[in-house]
Amino acid sequence: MTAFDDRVLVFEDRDDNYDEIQRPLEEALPDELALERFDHSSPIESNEVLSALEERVRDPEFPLLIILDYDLTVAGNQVRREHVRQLCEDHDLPLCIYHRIDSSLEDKLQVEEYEEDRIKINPSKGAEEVASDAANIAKGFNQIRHALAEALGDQSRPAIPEILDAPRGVRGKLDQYAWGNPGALMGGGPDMDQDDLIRRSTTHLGYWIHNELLEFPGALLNPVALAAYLDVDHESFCDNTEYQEPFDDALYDGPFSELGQWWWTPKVDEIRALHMTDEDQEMPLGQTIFERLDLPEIGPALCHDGESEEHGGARYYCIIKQKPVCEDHSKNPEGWIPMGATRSRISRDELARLEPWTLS
Amino acid sequence: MDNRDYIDIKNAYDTFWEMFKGSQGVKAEGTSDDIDITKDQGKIRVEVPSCLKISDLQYRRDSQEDLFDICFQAELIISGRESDEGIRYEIDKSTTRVTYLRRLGDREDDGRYPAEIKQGMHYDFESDPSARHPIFHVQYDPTAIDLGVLNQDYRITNEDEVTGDHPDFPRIPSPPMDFVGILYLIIKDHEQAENATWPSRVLDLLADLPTFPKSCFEPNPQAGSEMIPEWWYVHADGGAHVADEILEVRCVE
Repeated sequence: MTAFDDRVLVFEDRDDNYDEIQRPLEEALPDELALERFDHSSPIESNEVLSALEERVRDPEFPLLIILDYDLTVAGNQVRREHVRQLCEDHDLPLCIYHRIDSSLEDKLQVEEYEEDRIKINPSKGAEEVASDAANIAKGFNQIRHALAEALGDQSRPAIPEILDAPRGVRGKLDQYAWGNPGALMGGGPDMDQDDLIRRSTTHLGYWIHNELLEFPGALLNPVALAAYLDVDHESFCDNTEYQEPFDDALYDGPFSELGQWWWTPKVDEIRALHMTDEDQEMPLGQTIFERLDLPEIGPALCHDGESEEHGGARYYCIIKQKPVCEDHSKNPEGWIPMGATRSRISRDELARLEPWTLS
Repeated sequence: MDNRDYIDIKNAYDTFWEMFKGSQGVKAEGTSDDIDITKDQGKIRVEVPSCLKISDLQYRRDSQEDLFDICFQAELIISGRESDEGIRYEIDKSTTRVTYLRRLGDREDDGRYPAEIKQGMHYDFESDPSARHPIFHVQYDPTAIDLGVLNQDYRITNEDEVTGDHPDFPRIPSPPMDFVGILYLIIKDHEQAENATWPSRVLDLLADLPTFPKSCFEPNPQAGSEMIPEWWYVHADGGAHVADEILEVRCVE
């Protein structure tokens, strides 16, 4: 398979920064992947940066993942962020960007803005975490390319639910996420080279899983979104694994799953349904399930809309605040949230701040 | 009906709706979260308390701009029946409420569309003989879906007209129209529907959904005869089939 080679290529112009992430990254990468740093010192003619960059990056195949420092201005040659981004765009290469400088001046919106053609790592967590996240992102793309190559080898259409090991009940929702991101849809032109097809599919499917499916609760739930879905206090739920353990069978185990914790919503429902007694008319919520399991009492999910009195019933997840919100004090404005992300909303106070005209 | 049956029925409806909704050429709104599934005295109740919606359908050949939204609510009681292949899920009761709305303009400041209710009805499956109704029937009902529900998405401009005194008769015999049946009617019954059929992606899911009891469709010995109006009342007339003397005079040989 020559869609990619096995390199993870880092563009980092500062030696001290590279030194910080090199060891933890090497340790975290699986044996089959090799870390390499781009040579920023050898000069490049300014009128042919892009072609020279391609030549140096392709050796002879493209790397599996490019990790890019947001700011390459210390680099000795002409290679800058926009060149690397252009190269990745032209050849469908997975790109992961981190900022070395944690600028508090950066517009909050800019950070939270959903971007589909790259993966961002928040560097404020420190070098070890950046390295660990980058390694897990590389592992995710590696997993996807192998699954796609295998599926194409069988002459069968690569099936996204199989790559994700998705339960049957979620197939329709997965499709709806994909509508917003045509790049995630499989396939290329009829004459497309198989390696190019695998590379393109790997990259866009990876972006789609990371930036949409895992980011926007609906088919999958992150810990806060699961707490909200179960109508329990998210802090107690996140801090105590005993509340999470009953839902272990619903955990997502697929590309990028090591970057956090996610649960399949239909499988959570199955577990809720198995806790039904003969007296229950509906699937029990968290407080009832935990009580039946003799776990310590847990508070209800409180709504985090900033403009209303404290109240419960916060069954949804605000994608800006990353906290539970209730249906009445949140919205699902058109174009902000992928269609299948049925547990994602934006609290009314955040929406009023970001886009006042969408509120009546 | 145990918890496993509950999950199977929930998964069947949730998946069917999400996959139908995701089909090409269908503009559907509402999510599987809008379908409530509850246990009800050993049976399973399936209910859509808000409504699901198919929008932007053209019904008039000469006016492409004149588009309709169809909102529907389904309510079913499902029970289990043992068969050689395992448990089969059967529909005990079914009511499907449908409202046809014509949008009069773009979304207004409050996020709602101004719209007129142009048509409405509810479909029933009523097997209780004592009611003496056609076993499957439809009744005209412009406010089949409560205005409080429609008001979430629409500003209804002809409320006075539709809330007037409309009789709920006659009960017109109809095909079985549950959650599934109404969707087939909707995809077939509009101007853009050329060659419309079930989207291939939902075909294999249909097998997982509960069905009406076989006994509703046992016309023997009148098999092969027209479904004359008398046929629809067989269950209410206390017989297993239409009386021979009626078949003789009413049906083509």
